[in-house]
Amino acid sequence: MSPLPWRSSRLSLSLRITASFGVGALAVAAAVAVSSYLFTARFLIHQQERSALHQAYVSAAIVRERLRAPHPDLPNILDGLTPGPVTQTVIYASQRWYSSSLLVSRDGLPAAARAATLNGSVVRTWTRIGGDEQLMVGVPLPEVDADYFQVVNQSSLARTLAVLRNVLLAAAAATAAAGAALGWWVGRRLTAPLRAVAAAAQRVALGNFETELPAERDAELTGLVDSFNTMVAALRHRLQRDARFAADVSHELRSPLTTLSTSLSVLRNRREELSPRSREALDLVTQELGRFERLVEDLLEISRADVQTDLTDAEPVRVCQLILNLLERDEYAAVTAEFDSEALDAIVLGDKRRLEQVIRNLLDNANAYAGATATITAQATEATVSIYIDDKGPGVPVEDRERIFERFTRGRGATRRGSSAGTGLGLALVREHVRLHRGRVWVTEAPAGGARFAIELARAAR
Amino acid sequence: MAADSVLLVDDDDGIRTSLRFALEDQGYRVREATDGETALERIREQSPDVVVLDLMLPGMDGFECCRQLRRLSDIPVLIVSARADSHDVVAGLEAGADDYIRKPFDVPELAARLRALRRRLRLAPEQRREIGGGDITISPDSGEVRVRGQVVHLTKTEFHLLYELISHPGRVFTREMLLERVWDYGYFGDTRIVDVHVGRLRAKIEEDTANPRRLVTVRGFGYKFEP
Repeated sequence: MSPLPWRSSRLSLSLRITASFGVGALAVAAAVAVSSYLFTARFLIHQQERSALHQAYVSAAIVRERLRAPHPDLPNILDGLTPGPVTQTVIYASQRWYSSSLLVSRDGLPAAARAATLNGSVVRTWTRIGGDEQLMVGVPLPEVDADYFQVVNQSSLARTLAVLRNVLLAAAAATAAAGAALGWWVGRRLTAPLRAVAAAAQRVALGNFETELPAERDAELTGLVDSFNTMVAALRHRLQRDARFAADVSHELRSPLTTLSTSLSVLRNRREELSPRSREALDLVTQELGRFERLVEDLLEISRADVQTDLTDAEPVRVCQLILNLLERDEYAAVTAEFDSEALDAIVLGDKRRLEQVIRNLLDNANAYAGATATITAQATEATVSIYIDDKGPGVPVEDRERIFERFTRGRGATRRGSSAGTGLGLALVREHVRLHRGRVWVTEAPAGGARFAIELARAAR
Repeated sequence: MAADSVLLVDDDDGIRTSLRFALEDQGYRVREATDGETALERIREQSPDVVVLDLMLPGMDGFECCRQLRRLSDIPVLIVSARADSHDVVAGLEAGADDYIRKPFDVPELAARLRALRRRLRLAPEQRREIGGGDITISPDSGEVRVRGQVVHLTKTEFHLLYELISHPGRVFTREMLLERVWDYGYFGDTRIVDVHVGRLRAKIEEDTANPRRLVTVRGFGYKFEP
């Protein structure tokens, strides 16, 4: 069977829907994440700057008051100012620099901001000191000829922002994944009816004309479902009509055939009373009537196979035993069979009558083209049992090995022996019957030359 | 001994006439009927030895004719069908027929089938004693079957089948073996004949036909009798 043609397109449609949902979700989530981050970061920085400025003004005012006092003790002032470990203070007074900590000194302050303060401007700037983000505020105190600098370590703000950034990134990724999953689900949902139609079409192609799609509530799909079901029903009716016609014809032919063959047997009983010429004519009629009967039977059988897709009454059959039973018939006296115990034990689920006909038709075929001496062997595996029927004839040319299983095709050349011409349906019936058993039949070359017809059937579970 | 008489029931003049010739050649006395009603009348009046019954009859069909005939007699019935593929065969056997043959048939084949149906149990004197298993006893001499003390009426074919199974309790018979022993088919008959007859026997001798305890199916092989 060729790979199902609808599969690739279904995947790409589903994939496209999945991808669009995923990309869409990612875009929305990323936009939300970036704007949230920017807004929050700006808000937090603004808060920090305001509070630092406020604190700096308050502290600068205190410093100014203290410096106005006679003999101000600057180290003492600094000590009283430092509100916590994150804030450091530097004061420039009386041409000297005082610092609350060794971490921050005159040289640690950004030069431009320091100069601007010394020149009389209030300065607020971000800088890095000791590897941490710091916010520096410089307040000039001209009344007391001093400058006040405050440095607030902002590493906790930086950490907060980093955590926020990571959380938002993870949320965006999760949103994108969720979007893709949703897209996959939607894609499956959207393509489900299409897949149902494709699977149903596949079943029809395999010959199951009872296939019907369940009614759809969706208005857009009802049309598709209805026309599909109508198409299958029309196909089924047509096939059934054709098959019924062939079956009816065969049935109707049976009554006159019965009269003919019975009358012929009455005539044959009086064969001695007939002239030699009449006897010859009688033999001809007998022979052709036999062929006609077989043709009617085969036509009926094949018309039945046309409408049947499953064995309706399969039973466990020991197929090799069935062959041995069959070979007890006189007509197969020259056929030999060799089965090992594994093959003899192998059971297939099948229809005995059809399996018998398969073997008989293959033996008759071998007989017609290669003489009566055929050899049957079998090979059983865990899952299958294969039957090989080898003859000693000229074999089947490679180019004919498919064709001979078609209806009314004959072997090439006048190799067919004797007068017992076949119906032209024998091997076609073999193929139909084996197909009904979900098996395979093919022809190849026998190890000893000649043709080998091989049948492979599935073994029934023990 | 007078020749066996056959009642031919078929509405097709050609078949009836040619078959009469052929069967007379085989030594049978042949009676004819063209429909089911006439056939039942002939059976009542002339009690033929065997009936060849076409399933497709005008008016009362072959199945109904077979069912009514069974109420009159346990005479062997061979049904003739043009539709051997359908369920007709099984339905005909279930209606009480003993065997079937498909149109078109060979006269020698038909004659062989009729002979098999006419054949009685051939038993040596020491085999003619009453035998039984469990709560079933059969006496080949009188043809009587008792199940749990009750006399049960069997057709000749049913009796023959039961005899084969009951005389080898526990032994598994394949359908083909039973076809050969009871119907004289050389292995190549339709095994549905056996299945239908086993079903009919079960209906007559089993307490619960859904769970048979005497006539047991051996999956993949056939049947056996459990005493």
